[in-house]
Amino acid sequence: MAELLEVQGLSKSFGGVQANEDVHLSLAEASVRCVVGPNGAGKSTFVSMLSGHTVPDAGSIRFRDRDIAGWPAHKVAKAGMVRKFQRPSFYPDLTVAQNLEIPVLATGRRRGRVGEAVRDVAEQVRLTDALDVRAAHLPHGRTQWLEMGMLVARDAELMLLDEPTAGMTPEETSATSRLIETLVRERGISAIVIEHDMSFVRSLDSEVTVLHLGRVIAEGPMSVIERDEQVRAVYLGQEVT
Amino acid sequence: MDTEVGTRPDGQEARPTRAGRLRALLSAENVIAVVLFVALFYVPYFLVGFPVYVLPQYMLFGVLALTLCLLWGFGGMVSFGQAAFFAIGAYALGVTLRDVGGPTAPWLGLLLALGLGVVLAAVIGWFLFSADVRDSYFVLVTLALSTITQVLANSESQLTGGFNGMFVERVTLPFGVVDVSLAGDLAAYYVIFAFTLLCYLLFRYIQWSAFGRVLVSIRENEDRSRALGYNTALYKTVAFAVSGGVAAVAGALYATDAGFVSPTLGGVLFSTSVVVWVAIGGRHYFIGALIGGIGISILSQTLNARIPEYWQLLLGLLFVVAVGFFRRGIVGTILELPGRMRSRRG
Amino acid sequence: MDRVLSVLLDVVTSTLVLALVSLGLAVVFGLVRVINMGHGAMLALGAYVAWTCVNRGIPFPVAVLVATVAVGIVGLVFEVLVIRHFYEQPFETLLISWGFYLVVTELIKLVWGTDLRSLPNPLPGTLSVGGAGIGNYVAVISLISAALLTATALVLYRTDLGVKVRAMIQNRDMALMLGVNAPRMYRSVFAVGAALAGLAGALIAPMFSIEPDMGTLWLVRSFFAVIVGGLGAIVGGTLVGSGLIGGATVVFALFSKQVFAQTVVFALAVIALRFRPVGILGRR
Repeated sequence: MAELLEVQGLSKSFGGVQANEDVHLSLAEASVRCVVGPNGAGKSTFVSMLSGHTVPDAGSIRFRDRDIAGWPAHKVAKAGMVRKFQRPSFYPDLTVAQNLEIPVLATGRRRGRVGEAVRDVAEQVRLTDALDVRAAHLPHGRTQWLEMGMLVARDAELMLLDEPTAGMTPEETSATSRLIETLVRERGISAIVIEHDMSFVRSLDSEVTVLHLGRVIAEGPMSVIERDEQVRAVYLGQEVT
Repeated sequence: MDTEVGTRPDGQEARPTRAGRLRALLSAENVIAVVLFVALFYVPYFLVGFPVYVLPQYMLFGVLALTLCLLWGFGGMVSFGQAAFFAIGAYALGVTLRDVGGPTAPWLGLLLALGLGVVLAAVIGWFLFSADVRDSYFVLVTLALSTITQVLANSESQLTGGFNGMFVERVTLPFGVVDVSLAGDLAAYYVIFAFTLLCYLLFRYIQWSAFGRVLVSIRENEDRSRALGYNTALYKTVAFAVSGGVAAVAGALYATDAGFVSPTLGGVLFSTSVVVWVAIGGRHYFIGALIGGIGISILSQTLNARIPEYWQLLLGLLFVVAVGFFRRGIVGTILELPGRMRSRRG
Repeated sequence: MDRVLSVLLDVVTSTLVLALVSLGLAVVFGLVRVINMGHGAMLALGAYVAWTCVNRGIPFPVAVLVATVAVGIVGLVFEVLVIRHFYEQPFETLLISWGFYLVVTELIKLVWGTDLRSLPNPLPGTLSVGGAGIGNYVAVISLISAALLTATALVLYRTDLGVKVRAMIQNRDMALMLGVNAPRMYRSVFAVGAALAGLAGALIAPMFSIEPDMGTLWLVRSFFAVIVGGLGAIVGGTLVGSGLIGGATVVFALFSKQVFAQTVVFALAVIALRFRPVGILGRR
């Protein structure tokens, strides 16, 4: 079976700085991959190239067997790979229901089915009680879930989650890890998760790709990664988790 | 975040009920709209002469305000160029009637107006939006559009009559089985009334449609909408094209109703007035824009006779106040008063 | 040869006059990132104040000074009362400054009426350069414009104040952390921009008929000049932008009517901006 996502030789430099060099990654359906690495490792650039916000200098990104490298952001999202940004990005002055409705409208559902889809997603991200609340009034953790809900509402096949637990309490973080697992299990969604929080990465129990200075230095299950000498060296002085 | 939260509120019907839909239909906004259109419909029953003569022009100004409302209030794009489309439509009809003639000329003229408005807006819109130009550039370009339109209308006297303007007769619209002549003020009134009502319904439909909702989302956070799969440049272009086309047709009707087109109709000053109407009336509600356009025009007419300078100054001040402190405009503020009071109490 | 020289002179003077008019807009835009739509009205106000002074017997140079200060004060008042609340919302500021334009224009009509007025040429006669001639007054204004641009550049690049201003332009947050007093700087910049507009208005008053709406076309032209020249590049950008817009208009006007020339230049500018939105000398 062909992989959902197949990245080969992805490279990008900005004015002399090699942000990504020969990055590779493959991801199957209904699975999760974490991408970690110290600051400046090139994680954001990598995600940007996947989502279509940055054009790669070289390499290929095959999504469902189509090379989408260099595609504009809206085309990539339409193809099924949708990004949750690092900074909060939703519609603050619209209600939660309206926020979820926008991505649903892009799925081509009939008018009558839209409300149903909205309620369905809202239930999954525990926002049923807040459907008529203006999104700006939600506490931070719930807005993160709202944003993930928007990805689900979009019928995303692959979620690009850029630091989804930033600013969350430990309880919220573990709840998020369970949410991602549920989404993968119940809806068959795949996810690439950029993260700094190692306990969160561990709780996801997935394959991990470690970036350092724009290159992939290690790849594999967390247990193996943790013991990798090079990874430990790179992370020396970083978070102690 | 409370991870236990998220239970379905007790006893709440999840699906929209008949009662809910009825309540939505009888919203304050719709009630105001019905009152306005009924009032406009009955004006000729109670007033004769000048009001019946001049109100159609103001209704068309109201339509012009509707087009800006779609662009600005819903799409987040301020255009200082709507008057340009209005004038282009007006001249299109005038020129067609003069140079083509014949019984079908009115329809041809209206069609030409629509075509010019849509195509010009689509071309300019796509050119700008596909490059993701910043808002201020769009403002500048529409400003330049108005400037250029007025200046060209002035200089191309062969085509447009130049500075002295162009006279346009009241047309007769052939509908196949019957001909509707706009020569009489009453006929013109109701034809334009029908057009205004149709435009209002059209824009309200757009607001309710998926297109309208996505347009609002683009106004709120274009990056997010784009990253959800929407070709936002296309949406903005379509909105601009619709606005341009409707404005042009309104302009064409204005030409035949008022009987005279001059270059100032397409200029910066008039474009500015449209922005003022929508800012004061209410940019987030089509009925607000309509009331702003018609209402301020009526007030200008009556007050200009007595205190012209002070009235314009007052308008300018109201505009600053509306843009700075009362974004919702008069109608918007009124409509949202109950909601704000409720949230303050609750 | 004479023709070429004459055209060249026209290009130079057009550039410098447009640069004079645009400098106020560039200063405010460059620093505060606000497009002051009221710029055109302040231009007109400067012209009217100068006219009133001259009509009262005040010599022209003094009248120009009075206009500069008066309009600067008007701009200051507006900043204090209104604009300073809206710096965080650049787009609303654009609209509000347009409201300012409306209010000022109406006040002008109230005070001075709508009849066209004119100021006599303070320096009649023509200068002969090579084989071509330019009006004395136009030549003087061009020199004043050049001097003003040079002075601005000197302030920006040779004074402490200039360093702070450039720091604010390049990286606002950093500048704030380093202790730059933003509100005071914004206020000064806005007032200076207004004063420059008043100065320009007074200076160009003898060249054009004075009417309440005289600022509108200048607004559009200087708007284009500043954006084409480049965001944040105050002196260089204004000069380059004015050169392109002003110069191109002169050249195109050789082959067609003035109005067509303006139209073509605007269209070309719009096209160019679409491909390089930051302008010639601008940076993101």
